Amino acid sequence: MTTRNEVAVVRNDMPGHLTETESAIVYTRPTADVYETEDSFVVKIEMPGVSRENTQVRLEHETLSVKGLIENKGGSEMNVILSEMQGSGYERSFRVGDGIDRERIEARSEQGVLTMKLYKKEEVRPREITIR
Amino acid sequence: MSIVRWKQDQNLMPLPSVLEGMQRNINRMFDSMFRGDRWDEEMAASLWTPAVDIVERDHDYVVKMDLPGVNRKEIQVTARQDVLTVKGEKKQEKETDDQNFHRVERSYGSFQRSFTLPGLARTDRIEASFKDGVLEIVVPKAEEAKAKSIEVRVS
Repeated sequence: MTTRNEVAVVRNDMPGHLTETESAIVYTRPTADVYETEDSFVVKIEMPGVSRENTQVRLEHETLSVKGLIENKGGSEMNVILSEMQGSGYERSFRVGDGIDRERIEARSEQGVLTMKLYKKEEVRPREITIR
Repeated sequence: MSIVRWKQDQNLMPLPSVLEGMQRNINRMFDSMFRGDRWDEEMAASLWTPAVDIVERDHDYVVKMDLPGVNRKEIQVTARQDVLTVKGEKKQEKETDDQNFHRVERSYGSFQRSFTLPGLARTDRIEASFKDGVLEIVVPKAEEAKAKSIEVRVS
């Protein structure tokens, strides 16, 4: 084992038409904290080794997906002594309900932690009601 | 295999050793209480164990540790004789007071891991850097072992 990436395998079980390629990236499910504030939901995902440039956040239909690739500095010859880190990337998705404002989702990456802030729609935020 | 983990991972120990280890820890706890010593550092620091990769290259050893969300200032790397120790603390960021948690999967608190360096290591020339939540320590190889205690600054 020299790198954290697995070698890509090309299967030839559908010759000439469609070729299935196995991803060279081994994705693992990163750990996350999710909390709710008055106006938003905050998701913090741990993706150590993933830079801002290698992070992808995508909202498609109701699915908010997060992908991160670990920068691979391998290449030269090395002898692995201990290997506890798993995979070469992270992947996790969340379902975004009707109460979330799709136009207001913020994301930032800091010290290997991706923080996403999903604002609630105005109508679902708690409201103080004045007693007349 | 030149760099080995100093402390055995208790999760990997067979059951009798786990119980043995537990017994030893409890005994140690009582001993230190009665003697009035402070709590064993090792016990206090075993809240979470960050994942580590170690590779050997031609001219050095590279130790990588996953420390996402840990503040650079909270990481301490020391090399004493032939033991390389990384310790620190991950603090939970508090943005608002009315946080209502739906999911808490991340680990917080202090951590400590130590590794025995091979005799070939040049402990006076260890360099550490921290990027994207990964601590990388480069330990150059040398002809002879040098026994001294130094402080390594995390840059």
